[in-house]
Amino acid sequence: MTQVDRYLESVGMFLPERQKDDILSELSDHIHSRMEDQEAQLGRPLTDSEQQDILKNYGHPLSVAGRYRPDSGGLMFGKQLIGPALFSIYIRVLGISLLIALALQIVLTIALDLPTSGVFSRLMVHVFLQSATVTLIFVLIQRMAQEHPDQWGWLTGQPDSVNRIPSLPRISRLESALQIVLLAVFLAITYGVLSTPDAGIGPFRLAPIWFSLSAAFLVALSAGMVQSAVNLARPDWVRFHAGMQIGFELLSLALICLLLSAGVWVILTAPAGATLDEQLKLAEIVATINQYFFYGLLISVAISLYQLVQNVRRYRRLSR
Amino acid sequence: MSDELLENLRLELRRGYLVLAVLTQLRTEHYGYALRKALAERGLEIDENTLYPLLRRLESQGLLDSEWREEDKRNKRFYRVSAAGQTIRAQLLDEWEGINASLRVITQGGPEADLHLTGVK
Repeated sequence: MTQVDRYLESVGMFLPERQKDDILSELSDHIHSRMEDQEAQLGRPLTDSEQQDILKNYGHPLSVAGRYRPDSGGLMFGKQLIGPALFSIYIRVLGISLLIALALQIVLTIALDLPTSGVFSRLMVHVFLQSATVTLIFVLIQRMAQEHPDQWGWLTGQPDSVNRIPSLPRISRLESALQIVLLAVFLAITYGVLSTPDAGIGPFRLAPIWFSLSAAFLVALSAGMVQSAVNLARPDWVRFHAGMQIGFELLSLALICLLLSAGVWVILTAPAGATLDEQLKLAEIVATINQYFFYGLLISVAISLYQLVQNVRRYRRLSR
Repeated sequence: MSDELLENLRLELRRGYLVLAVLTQLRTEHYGYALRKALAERGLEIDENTLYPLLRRLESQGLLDSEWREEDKRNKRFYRVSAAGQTIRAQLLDEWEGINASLRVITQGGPEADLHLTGVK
């Protein structure tokens, strides 16, 4: 598959199915005619880099496809934030994301025995966070297409090769986008669980330490989303990424240490009418769960310390 | 800011006469790339990302006819102005000449033109 084929494939991803073949055939003819003209002028075949320059001059596939669907809508806020080529995909992803939010809230409410009175407000917060995240991702993709018309290889799973120094480290955009979505889901779950003081499963309830640290958890997750958004927009800011990771590892370590200092992470609310035997059995289960939490937190400390050292090394290497 | 404003106004101004230029140039049959070159040779540069969507729009409005044909071992889409396009083109040309004449009076006449237009001697 040639560079031109991959470019056309990328444009085709955003074209209306009905007109796709027709538009791509015409575009293909135009690109090849232009290349042939340039070859005739130079008296030799074009190099890869010269071919890439021609494609770069055409613009990012998203922008090219957008010109063929001016009536497909878009998201505007003063200026265009999401163009017509991306808008229909954005609406579809938003719809799926809303269904996921609804399903997650239903599962959480049933599994954690959360009071049904707060379902609507929890769902609204969840929907808001997820919609804002999805919107942010699409706005960043649109902006990237406008600012970097040469970087479209990721659309077809190929590396961008135009104006790219091969050895330059970059943070994967796909990884950053996935991180944003995962963190948004965690944020919504954390908010949902920790905003309900009697959240728990059966007779087991979360200990007060979780609720005391709830603001810190929410801040850490929000900061993680901001960092991932920055990574998505600027994958070349590897030093910033490493620096922020160090900050996160330190924050995680502080939170884990605070959790460890509590000593108890799950408490027992004995059901009314439980016999002494039943209460003793439940107390044993709670003690075991707390032991698992203790070892789990210790392992988390070790992992965080290891990652901290790795990130400090990486930061120092990138600073040289 | 003023550069951006100028660019926006320039694009707005161009939008109208590009249609006229394309309809006029397509009195003779052209495929997209050849049309772009022909317009550029006559001093009217047009971006391919503007030209092709414009050709499709004019065709969907019935002002152009098109046909896929093989030339130089490649399939090319040839465009030509339709009968309806010819009528519209003639009307647009009249309109353009009228606007041009008015603009000449406005931009070159100065205060005397104003007096002339209001009938003051």
